[in-house]
This record gives sequence, structure tokens and C-alpha cells, in this order.
Amino acid sequence: MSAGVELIKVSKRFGNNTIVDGIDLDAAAGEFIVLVGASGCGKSTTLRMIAGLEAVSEGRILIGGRDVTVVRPDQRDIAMVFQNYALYPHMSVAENMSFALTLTRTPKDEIARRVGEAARILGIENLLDRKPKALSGGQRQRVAMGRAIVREPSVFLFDEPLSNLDAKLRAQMRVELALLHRRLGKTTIYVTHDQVEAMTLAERIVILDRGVIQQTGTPTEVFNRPRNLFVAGFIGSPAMNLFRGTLAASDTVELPGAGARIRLPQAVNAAAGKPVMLGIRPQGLLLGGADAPLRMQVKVAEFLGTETVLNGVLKGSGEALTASVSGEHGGLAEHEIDLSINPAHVHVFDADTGLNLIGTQSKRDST
Amino acid sequence: MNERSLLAVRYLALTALAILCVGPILVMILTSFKTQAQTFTTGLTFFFVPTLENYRDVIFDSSFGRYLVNSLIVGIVATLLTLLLGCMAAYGLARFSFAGRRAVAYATLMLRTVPLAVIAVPVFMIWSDWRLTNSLGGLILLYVAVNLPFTIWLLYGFVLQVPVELEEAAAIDGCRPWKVFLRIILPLIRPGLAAAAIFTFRIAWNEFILALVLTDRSTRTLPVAASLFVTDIGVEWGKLMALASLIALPPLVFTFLAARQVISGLTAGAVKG
Ligand SMILES: Nc1ncnc2c1ncn2[C@@H]1O[C@H](COP(=O)(O)OP(=O)(O)O)[C@@H](O)[C@H]1O
Ligand SMILES: [Mg+2]
Repeated sequence: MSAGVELIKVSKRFGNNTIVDGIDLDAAAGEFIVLVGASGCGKSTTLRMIAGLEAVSEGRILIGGRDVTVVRPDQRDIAMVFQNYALYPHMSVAENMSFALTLTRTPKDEIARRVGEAARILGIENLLDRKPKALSGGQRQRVAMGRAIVREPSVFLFDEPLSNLDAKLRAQMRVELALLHRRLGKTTIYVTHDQVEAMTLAERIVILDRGVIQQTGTPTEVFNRPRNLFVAGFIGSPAMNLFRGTLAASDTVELPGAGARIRLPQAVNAAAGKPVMLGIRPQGLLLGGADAPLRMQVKVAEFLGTETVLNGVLKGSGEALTASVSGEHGGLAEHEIDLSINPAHVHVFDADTGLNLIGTQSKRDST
Repeated sequence: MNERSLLAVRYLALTALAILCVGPILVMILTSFKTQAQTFTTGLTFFFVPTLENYRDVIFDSSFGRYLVNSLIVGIVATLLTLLLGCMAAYGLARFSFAGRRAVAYATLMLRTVPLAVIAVPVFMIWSDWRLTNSLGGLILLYVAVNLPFTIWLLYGFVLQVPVELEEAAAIDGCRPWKVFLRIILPLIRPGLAAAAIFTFRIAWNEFILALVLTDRSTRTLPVAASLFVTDIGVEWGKLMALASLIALPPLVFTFLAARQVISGLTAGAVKG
């Protein structure tokens, strides 16, 4: 069984500080939602309110259509995996996994069946008698997931579950998490500060900044149509290039420092002369080309195997510039090069409000 | 000074310290096997015909059983009560925020620095007033009161080491606050409980001055009973030392058992994941 999760205008205040500010979220049953944002933006607080570990200051929380705003954590039909795993140190792996079931007086053979099955799914059958301290980080991670699975909840909550693992193990566990979700089909709300994790795992991403949702959408949507400057800068790696400019015509931005005029992929509904921020993904920059409007002073060239990331500045304005070009171009360090632009990767934002001027998607996303 | 002589000095100092500690105990045990006459004729030598007469006299004395039971009741009940109140108070101090929490935490530790002898007179007056003298309950109350501050302080540190996430995980797993305390906190602070138990039991078992003041013929504890061998006509050294040796045994055994809990807890890498 899986159940949707709905947050209606949920806020959280600690004293006078509003940490979470009027969040609306509607996760369909079985959906994998990732809450992403910088450290301290209120992700954990939001998740803890859904879990019932933190009281809600304002708003309502529904799980499976039932209002659980003031319901105790164990009555919400959720399971949570903590960042530090929070395994009970005095219990064996099997006891850790079965603790919730023993509390509800589940029959012994039923407990054994569920623990056995979860252990098999996670490949930890040979660890059941061990104590948590005798496990590696990755094994603890699996046990923590096993403890959640055994309860057969309607909703899984994860708070940065992979952040204590090394890079290689993290990538591996990410894949396993995706497979696990496909297999169990449970609604999952997953918190992370890592946008790569968010992009790879999420069916829908919720981007938070200072307790306010900046955008909700599929990974493709938030990457291709960032609603504002924050999302544009947060999603995508390397981060999007942003240059100060003015709107010369409804479909052209002028970069005064660099003396360049850049064509937009489509006309925007704003008056000429308006101050804007022009955004270009590093992947949208190409070496050379017939019409190459940007001149870059390359400082460092990082060869990553299939592409080279060039770091430097835009000649004329001195603004930071990053280009990700395919192939081996390590030799370009400390050179000046011309770059042409793939219009699909060009965005333009209102310099005052930060909103995407092309964004027609804002209406769809705000539903 | 070179390293060798430095080492020699260290060993010398340690040996002196060991003699100071073990010496009196040795004298006590040796004397307990001597007749009154031997006590003064044989000096500190090991060469004498040992006698079990002192032990027989002490153990088969008509009152020994009662005093032993008194001591056991006082020691065990005081220890259990101290641990029970101490772990709950420590948990409250560590986990709940309330006005004056810091003040309580510091006052708790400062109370511990007051010597027992200093409070003997006021305690006697108050206990008399409240009709708590000459009862085991009165003595137990006193020992709980004097041991609680240290116990709270000790357990407070242990509770602080338990990550809050463990309690939250337990809450999600279906534990109400009391169950979290019983199933998660208590097992994890077990080394602290054992250390506090050693400490409390030894004070309650050995304490003399206040026990002397607060007990009568029927509520005496063993240390007070031992003092009865010091009489107007002289000291019955053999019996005194025999009883003293017997009194020293239970704390030794108890400490040994409880210390294993402490050590296994410490080597288990405690609580942190
Ligand atoms: N119990 C609390 N009391 C006061 N402030 C808190 C409390 N819990 C969290 N905060 C504050 O709320 C903000 C958001 O915290 P959190 O939700 O943990 O952020 P993150 O997005 O990194 O998970 C932080 O600035 C933190 O200091
Ligand atoms: Mg967090």
C-alpha cells in the first residue's frame, strides 16, 4: 500500500524565525519526491514535520488523504531513514529491524518472514546477528533502510541518507535506492543538498531556499526551464553562467562589458532597455563556430574524460565564465578563445525580481 | 636525571603508595586471625598460630544477623532508589529545557563537595524533628540525598552522549516517551548506572558517622556495630578486625561485578554509531 502526501501551507517557526514558510506540496501515491536546497534552508525541518517529530506552526499535513497534522509519529504509517542512520547500538541488526514490529506484538513468524525478506532484498542476510558498531558505513546504511522496509509503511522519508558515504559507495547506493523504489513502489520523500542526487533520483524535485519553495517540477523541467535565478544557479553542474545585460530588443540581450549581442531562443514580453541577467549553461557553449559572440580568457582547463571544463572570465566584463566542451582541450589553459552559443541553453531573467522572462511554465509549476 | 633513574623514582613512589594503601588492610586481616594476647606480642609478623575464634564470635553473636540485614537493606534500597531517581533526573536535565536548568545542573555538582561530617549535626536535628531517627528509612533517605547529586551529574553526561535521533527513531517505531526511556536510554547508559551503583552502594554500606548518630540498638548497620568493640575497658582488636574484614568483602565483590559492566560498556565503543 502506498499513500500520497499533501502539505497545505505548512509553516514552521522557531521563536521569531520562520524556518519553513507556507510550503505546498502534493506527492502522488508512489511518487519519488526530492526536497533539495542549500544547508539550513529548512529541508530537514519539513521532513521532520511530515514524520511528526516536529510540531507544525501553521498549515496541515495529509497522508493518504487523512489529516495527520497532530498525529503521533508511529501512527502516520511512515518510516524514516536518518542521516546518521540512528541504529540502536545495543541491538543486533535483526533486533534493529524488528523493533517496531515487536512493539506492535506482530507474531514471531511474521516478523521473521519480513526481516528475512528485507535482508534478502538489501543483501544483508549474513549481518543479522551483528551489532551496528561492527558494520561499515554502507552496511549501516542498508540496515537503516531495512528497518524502514520491514515496517511496510505507506511513505518512506529519507534525510540525506547518503551524505556520510564516500563518493563511490554513494553512487552505488543511489542506484540501489532507485531500484528499491521501483520494486516497492512506495511514496518517497527524500531530502538532500546534492543536486546530482536530486536530479538522478527524483520523479519530481522541490527546490527550497530559506524555507520557501522556489520551483517544483520534473528534473527536465527544472533544468530546462528554471523559474528563477536561484533555481538556475542551483540546478546543473557546472553551475549556469550569469551575465549582467540589458534587453536590446524583445529577442536580443546586450552584454555591455563584453560588447556582445546575444539572440534569445524566443521573444520575451518585456520592454527594451530592461536590466536582465543572461544565463547560459556551460554545456551550451561551443568552441569556435562561424558566429562566435563571446570571447573567453581561459584560466584553468579540467579534462574529465569525455569533456573538458574551461574556467575563466568573459573578456571585457571580467565576469566568471565556465564552459563545458566535449573532447580533450587541456591545452587551452591561459589562452583566449571564441565561443558560440546553443540557443537551447540560453535563459534570461528579470534582474530585479529574478524571474525567468521566458518562463511560460511558471503557471504549470505553481499548481 | 636520566631516564633509568627517573623510572626508578617513579616505581619507588608507586611502591610507597601501594604500601600505604595495602598496609592497613593487611594489618586488619592479620589481626583478625589473632587472639587478643597475640595482637600485642606478635607485632607485624606473619608467624603466629592463626585462630578463627574472632570470626566465630562475631558471626555467631546474637545481633550480627540483624545488623547484616540492616546494612543490606540500607545499601541495596538506597542504591536502587538513587539510581531510579538519578536516571530520571539526569534524563530530564539533559533533554527537557526549563527555567533554571543550568543552575540546577551546577548546584547538583556543588552539593557533592560538602563533606558528610559537616551535615551530621543539622541532619540529626532535622531527622529528630521529623521523627526519622532510629529507622532504616531515615538512613536510606539520607544516603539517597547525599548520593543523588553525583549520580545525576554522572548520568547526565551519559544521557547527553545518546544521539537524539535514536529517540526519534524509537518514537517512529512506536515507542511512547516512557518506552523510549526504558528501551533505548536505560540500556545505553548502563555503564553509567553501574558506576553510580558502585559509588552509592559503597557509601551507604561503609558510612559511619551519620549511621552512628541516626540509628539505635535495632537499626544499627555493621560499621556502627563494629564500633561497639571499642569499649570503656579496652578495644577488642581481634573481633573488631574480623568484623571489619567481613564488612569490606561485599563492596569488593559488588565493585568487581559492576566494574565489568562499566568496562564492557566503555569498550563497546559506547553509543555513537
Ligand atoms: N529546534 C530548533 N530550534 C531552533 N532553530 C532550529 C531548530 N531546528 C532547526 N533550526 C534552524 O532551522 C534552520 C533549518 O534547519 P534544517 O531544516 O535542519 O535545515 P536543512 O535544510 O539543512 O536540513 C536552521 O537555520 C536551523 O538552525
Ligand atoms: Mg538537514
